[in-house]
Amino acid sequence: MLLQLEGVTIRFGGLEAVRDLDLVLAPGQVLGLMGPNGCGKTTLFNAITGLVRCDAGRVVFRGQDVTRLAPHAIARAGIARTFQTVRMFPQMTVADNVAPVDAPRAGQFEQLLHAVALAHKREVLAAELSLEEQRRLEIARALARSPSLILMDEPTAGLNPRETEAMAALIRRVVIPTRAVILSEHKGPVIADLCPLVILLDQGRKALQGPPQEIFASSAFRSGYLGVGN
Amino acid sequence: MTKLAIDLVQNTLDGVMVGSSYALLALGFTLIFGTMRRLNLAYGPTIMAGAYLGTYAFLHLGFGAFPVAVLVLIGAALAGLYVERLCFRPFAQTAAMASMVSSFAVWMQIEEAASLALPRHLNAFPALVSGSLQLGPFFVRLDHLLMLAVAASATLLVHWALYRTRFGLGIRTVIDHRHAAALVGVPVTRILLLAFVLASTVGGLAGFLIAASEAQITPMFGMWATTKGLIAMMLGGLGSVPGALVGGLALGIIEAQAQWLLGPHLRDLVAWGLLFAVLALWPGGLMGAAGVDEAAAVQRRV
Amino acid sequence: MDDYLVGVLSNIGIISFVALSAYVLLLAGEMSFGQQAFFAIGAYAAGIGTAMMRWSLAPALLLGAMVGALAATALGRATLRLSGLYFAIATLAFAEMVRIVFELCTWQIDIGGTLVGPKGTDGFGDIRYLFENEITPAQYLCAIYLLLALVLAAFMVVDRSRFGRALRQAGADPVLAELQGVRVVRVRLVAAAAAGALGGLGGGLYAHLLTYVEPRNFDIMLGVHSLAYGLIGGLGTAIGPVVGVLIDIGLLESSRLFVGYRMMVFGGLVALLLIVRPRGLLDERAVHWITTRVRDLIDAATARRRDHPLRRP
Repeated sequence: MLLQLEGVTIRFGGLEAVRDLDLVLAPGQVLGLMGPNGCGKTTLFNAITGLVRCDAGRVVFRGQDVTRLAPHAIARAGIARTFQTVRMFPQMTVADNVAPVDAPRAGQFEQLLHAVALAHKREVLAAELSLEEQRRLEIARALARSPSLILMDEPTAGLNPRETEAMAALIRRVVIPTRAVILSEHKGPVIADLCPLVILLDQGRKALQGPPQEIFASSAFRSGYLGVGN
Repeated sequence: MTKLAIDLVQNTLDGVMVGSSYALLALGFTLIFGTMRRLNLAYGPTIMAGAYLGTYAFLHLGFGAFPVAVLVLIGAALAGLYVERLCFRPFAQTAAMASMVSSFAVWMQIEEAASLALPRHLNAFPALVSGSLQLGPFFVRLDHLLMLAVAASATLLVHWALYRTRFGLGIRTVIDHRHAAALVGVPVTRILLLAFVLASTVGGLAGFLIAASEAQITPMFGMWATTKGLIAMMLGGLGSVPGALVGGLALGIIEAQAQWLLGPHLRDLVAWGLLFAVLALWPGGLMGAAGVDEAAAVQRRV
Repeated sequence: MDDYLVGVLSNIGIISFVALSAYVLLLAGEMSFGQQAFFAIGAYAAGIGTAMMRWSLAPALLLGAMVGALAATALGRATLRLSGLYFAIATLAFAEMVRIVFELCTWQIDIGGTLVGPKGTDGFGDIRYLFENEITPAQYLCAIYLLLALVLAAFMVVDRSRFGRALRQAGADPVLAELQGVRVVRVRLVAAAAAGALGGLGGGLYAHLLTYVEPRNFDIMLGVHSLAYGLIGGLGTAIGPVVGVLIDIGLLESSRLFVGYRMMVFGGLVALLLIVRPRGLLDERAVHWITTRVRDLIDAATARRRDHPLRRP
């Protein structure tokens, strides 16, 4: 087992953002994560990467309890993440954004930059890239440490249908091979395309788990996304 | 009552009086911080601008205490407008540092302008009332009592404005979530401007009361007011209106006791030390941060 | 060289150290209103070194830098949980406490009949090392700029190094930096120590230039000024804060045009400049533009040589 979440609970003041969540992920597995906004997906990602403290439960990665580990240590252990709103160092070049600091600058990341088609822009300031290019930069940045697990938080947010397709293809080509992925998305086709297994979250709890079509057809999915009719 | 007890209570009384003016200073500061989310380093100097305007009128035009008070309020409000226009409005939400440095630049401008207008270091300022009241073994200066009364009324007035008027509602929504407020049609720019002017006017009132009780004013007043307002605000909790009150009174009382016990130098050391301790141990201030800011919580883990 | 000019240039050089001190912390994403504390600590420590312990200048300056670094590390540890505004105010509180402590402390020893040493609010006088060793103002000026040049060179080297990138990343987005494996806490502490050392070094130089320092010299104004220099001159390069100092002291203070109005003009300039360039004149974008142009020029020159008809391919 690559990743195990046992009874993870996260509270903010009086609000329980994630409630008693269990999750198991095998190496190389691609897991989809769905649920309406506010259901706890981002908080869960924050907890796994160490940005937010769990009030209860454990996070075990490759047999090591990483629940209380500092974020930089978790990153070095092999967990990477992308953000819903693109996050990068806008005043630094593409190359400086991608290369991790404990590695010499040039060389090694050429392949990665080529894979995301940004090699020709390596000396451009990240702030000057288009949104779609910035999303590709995020992926390169996240992959720079060769993580065995990558958490992707709505990687196609803000992209039009054509760009979404291209991004999904990029993820399939570059991200998925050789590593485990937890993909949080709202767009059904992307999930259906990439994830054999999906977890549906509702108000911090795991509401349902199964293949995409099963999830889409469920009443929990409908009521979560569209609201309960009378 | 023992001498010690009498002294302690007297100090507390004095502290509360002085603390009420600190509370007013903190109130203005906190209104600006709550809405702008940035520190206005020119806050004290804008109050001083008003105070100097009043002093000028007093010294060169023979105005009495009440017209001077009005002038002080107007001067502070106008100076506040200038600061808002130049240092806060032109900057995007993210350029917080630029705003603060800009306000510092204006601080320097106002300080220099004040020294040019009234070159003498010490300037007389109209006093309000003199004499003191004796309550048993305790003495209370009448002008301090007036200061307390005016500060209390002003705080109640601001509270009423914030919680019982549409304008106040607007301010509170902007404090809570500026973007959302804009989306529901709150005239954010206008609200920010008015909040700034309100804050400066409240500060101006504090300035008038303090200068009147000292019956003098110097160019150091600007920095002094910023410092006291800042410490009081941080003690009570950044951006918290009740916190401004608590912080101001607490600062006043602690200063009074420290001065009695240790003398004026150590009094200032205690004030700063207290602020530092509060920041290091309880960054949210004595009142604590009410809501929880997830981003800030995340930031703090790093 | 005219004495006045030497004086102004020395001042610019020395104040650059405090400006660079605040700059390091700005790179780490932290705004400090308190670097003047380390300037003061360095001044007093170096002064004690030469005037009271009869050391020569170099070890005394080193002492000033080290004590500055130590104090800054201690402050850094205490303020680790703070960021943004809270951090800024904590540094301000610290600096004021340091200043008041200097106002309260007296420690004098008898050197050849006179009492030498810090004396509370009266300050610390008779730091006469330069006079006693017949070092002229012009020579001292050279020493100051030599040190400054070394420091700037060090900045250039570190900026391109791993630590330099880690520092800028930690400053730009600490959360993201952590997720990329940067130990933000460690980076901040190292930055704090470096800033303290720079401030302390500058303070030592200052004390010997003036031969007399008092606590009043190290007030909030100095602190906010040093912060402002980086924000005006630009955060893209270490030369930025020096440019800021040049603009203030060089342009305005020495020019006869602005006597009496200097603060108002400087203040107005700063406010307007920041509207147009929130990260200063030489911000990261400008520096990037410059380095790209320079690189293109070099490439063009070497390419031309490569295409020379007589060269074998």
